[in-house]
Amino acid sequence: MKILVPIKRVPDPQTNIAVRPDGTGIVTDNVKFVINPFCEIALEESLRIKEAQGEGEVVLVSIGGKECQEQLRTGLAMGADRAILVVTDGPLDPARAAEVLAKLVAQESPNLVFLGKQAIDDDANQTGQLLAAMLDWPQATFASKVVIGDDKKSVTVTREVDGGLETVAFDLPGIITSDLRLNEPRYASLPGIMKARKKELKEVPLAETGVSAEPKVKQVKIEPPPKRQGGRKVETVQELVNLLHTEAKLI
Amino acid sequence: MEELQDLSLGGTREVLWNAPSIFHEHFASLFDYVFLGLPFVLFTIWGLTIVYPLWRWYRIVRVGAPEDRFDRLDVRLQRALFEGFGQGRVVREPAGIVHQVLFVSFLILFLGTALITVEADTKLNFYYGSFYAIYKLMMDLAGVGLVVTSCVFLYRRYVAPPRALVQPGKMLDNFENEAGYGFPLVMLFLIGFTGFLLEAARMVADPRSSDGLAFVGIAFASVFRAMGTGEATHYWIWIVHLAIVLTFLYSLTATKLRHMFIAPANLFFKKLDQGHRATPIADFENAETFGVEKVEEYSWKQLLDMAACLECGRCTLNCPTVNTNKALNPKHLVIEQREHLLAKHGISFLQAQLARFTRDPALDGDGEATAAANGATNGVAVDGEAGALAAADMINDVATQPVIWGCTTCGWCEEGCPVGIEHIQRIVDMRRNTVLMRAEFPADLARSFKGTENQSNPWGLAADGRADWAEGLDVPQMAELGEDEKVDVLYWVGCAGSFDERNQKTSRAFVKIMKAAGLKFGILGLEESCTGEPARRLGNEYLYFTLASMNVETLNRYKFDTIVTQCPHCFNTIKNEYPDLGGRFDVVHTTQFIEGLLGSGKIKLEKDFLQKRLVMHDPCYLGRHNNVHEAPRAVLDAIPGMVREDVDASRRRTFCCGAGGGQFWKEEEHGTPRINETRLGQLLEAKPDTVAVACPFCTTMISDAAKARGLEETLPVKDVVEIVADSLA
Repeated sequence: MKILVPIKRVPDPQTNIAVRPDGTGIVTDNVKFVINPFCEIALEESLRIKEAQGEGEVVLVSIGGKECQEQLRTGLAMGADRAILVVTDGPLDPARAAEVLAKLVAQESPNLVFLGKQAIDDDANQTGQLLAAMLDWPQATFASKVVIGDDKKSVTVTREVDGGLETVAFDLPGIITSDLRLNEPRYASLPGIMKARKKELKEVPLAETGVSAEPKVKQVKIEPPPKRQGGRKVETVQELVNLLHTEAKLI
Repeated sequence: MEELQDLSLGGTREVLWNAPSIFHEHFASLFDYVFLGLPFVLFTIWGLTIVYPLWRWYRIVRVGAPEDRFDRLDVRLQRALFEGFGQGRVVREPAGIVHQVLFVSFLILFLGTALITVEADTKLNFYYGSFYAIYKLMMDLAGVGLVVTSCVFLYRRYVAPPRALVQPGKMLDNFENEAGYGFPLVMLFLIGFTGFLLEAARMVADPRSSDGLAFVGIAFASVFRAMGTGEATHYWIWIVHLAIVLTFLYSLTATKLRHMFIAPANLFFKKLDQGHRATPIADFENAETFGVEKVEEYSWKQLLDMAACLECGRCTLNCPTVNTNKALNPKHLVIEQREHLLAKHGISFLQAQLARFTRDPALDGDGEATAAANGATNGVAVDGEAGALAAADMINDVATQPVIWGCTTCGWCEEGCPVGIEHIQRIVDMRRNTVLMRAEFPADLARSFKGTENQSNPWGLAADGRADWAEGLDVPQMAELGEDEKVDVLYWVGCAGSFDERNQKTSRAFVKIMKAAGLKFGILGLEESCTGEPARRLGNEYLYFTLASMNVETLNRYKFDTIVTQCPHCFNTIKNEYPDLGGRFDVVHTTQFIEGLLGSGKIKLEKDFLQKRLVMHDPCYLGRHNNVHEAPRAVLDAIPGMVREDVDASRRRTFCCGAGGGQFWKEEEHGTPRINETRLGQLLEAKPDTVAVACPFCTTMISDAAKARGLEETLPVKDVVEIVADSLA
């Protein structure tokens, strides 16, 4: 079974994010970048599927600058077989990213495309769904459990929905996006890291895919949340109630 | 019968009187003595029986990987003499005194007997008169020593064994284990006892012989005299006594008594490092396997450690895991690894031939293939239990994961071991293998490894917050000062001092002290990263290597007199492990540094401690591993009104708080009570008002234990730095 796993380079979730003064993006100096955690979960699950089946191929894809090689190598060290980097000047918006992926799917013809449900940088949560629409493939989003059918032609996915779980099934090929609790991604072994250096990492200029870099949705501005004010200790309940009434105007 | 000596001098006895005539041969020369007759036969048998087990162990130990342990031979020899033959480490525990008495008694009896050989077989004549009388007294005293101490040890091993002597479940079925300690001890007892009987019987049967000052012999003789014994009784006791002595001598190296040869050797080859230093992986960049997965991947010295273990269990006395009922017992681990090694490589030549001969030829190919795959020495697969033990996966079946991950690397086992066994590296080697090769480790560690990789601290907190603790304190960062500006002190804050709210207080207190002393100092701030210490103890050598190389490079860029740090783990690694990576820095712990400031009068401690009782907890990596015990005490004692107490488990005998060896970053292994609560219990024996610590991780662990006991309001747990800062004028 061949699985295509798109991964996105994002700032480490622990990093303190600072917005550039002109609101055009975030400050990236001294920021450590990692594989988007949801993408990493998707990769882990794909590796487990491959290991359980004892055969198959896991192909990584990333879209972005050359620096994305770093995340692709990490993914290869975890156990992916090869990687494709679609080289662009900057990040693409979800619709363009989905277009690129659709082209790659046409070339690679995977049985399954396994994505993270969203990237933690722009939180768009669109690429998987858009890709499914473009390919006219079935999809299961927010997967918390994935079971591949014995015939390897179908898949049953448990989804985390508000207040419960929903189980869906479809015939492959199809799209799955992973939720947080699907698995705990592995730590790359040292031989894995060594081997990753020799694995194929193909670079494809965006122009070759024929997809425009022009975003369909333009980012106008980003701004940080308002700074949190320090708390205040009050002596009595009465004082608290008074303050809630007079200052916070909540009651 | 020709007499061997001049009896006319008086006050003596006839050597070999009434012995079988075959022992009475008189040799014309030393050459004849050594190469002819009965002594020759006996010596040859002795040589073979003694040499064969040693040679067998030599072959087994040679299976291990190469390692250079032949440097600084003078220091090594000194240690083999003082700690080996002199038993410098043995006498540290009460039972060791008994052992020393046994050893000295045996030595006196051995030398005394050898002396008679000189009297009988040379022209020298000294065995008479007052020499004889005192000689008899010494020999009887030594005999009493031998009889009493062997009885004490038999009682201790078999009647009321302490917990330290409990043996592991899996032991091989071989002569050494069957004979155990009972056989050699009974032999020692019988040598002493029949010696007395022989002496007494001779006093009764040979009226020409002098009693000297042989007080035990004289007492026994009165019994024999009453019984009316004669020459026949003496004759038979002589033969029995000789048979026991020979059995003992022939079995020396086939039983646990082999330690008298291997223990000094093991002490000779013991590591010479000061402080705790993990063995670096040779040629890290090009290595293909990491750590130890199979027993023969250990170095030969690590295999010699297994051979040297005498199962005394001292490693367990202060062991934090043994004392809190965890799976790891360092004594059991080293024994089980030895049994695994023996099962795999200990097949003797004779056994190998026998196995080949008796094996079904149809199975032979398979058996040998399996044996070869296991790397067994003689290419023979063993059946049954030993075979299963030989084929066992060392990490998961012989050691097991809870054992490997339980160790806090506190170093007690190595401190307590009288024969110089290095336990920690053996465990870390297995961790290296399971982390680097298999990427298998307790789940919590993935978070701390990734946090360290991405944010250069094991908490994984945003790296750009590393200097936030210093906000408003006007603490310069080295990058701001520039590479040409020299500071007195480069303050290495460490991850705990930088990110952990509790320990940030210690960092701020230390800044207060440095300012009071008027020192020029700086921190690396955002350029500082984890030293890699926890990663290294946890077997993640790759992560350690990355971080440590980066830190060494950063530190080498700046100019400073000395590095000061409040974290004993950072201290140990910078001091003892960074030199391997080209980082040679003068580094001291905050307590040492403050001691210096007090000595030079740069700071004065004036605020009174008001006669409150304080107990000092020694951090393992400051105290035991780096021998800094007195600096924190000297600093505390400089505070007026200080009432400082010590508990038994302090200084080198300190008990781990449970955080070391990377335990801080994972759940404690299964077993109760918790290590930190056990430690607090010991400290409470001093009835303290305050617990003083000198390590951020100890601070957290002991504070947590105090909370668990509901003592967080009444028992402050403070770093020595904080206590000093509070006492500044």
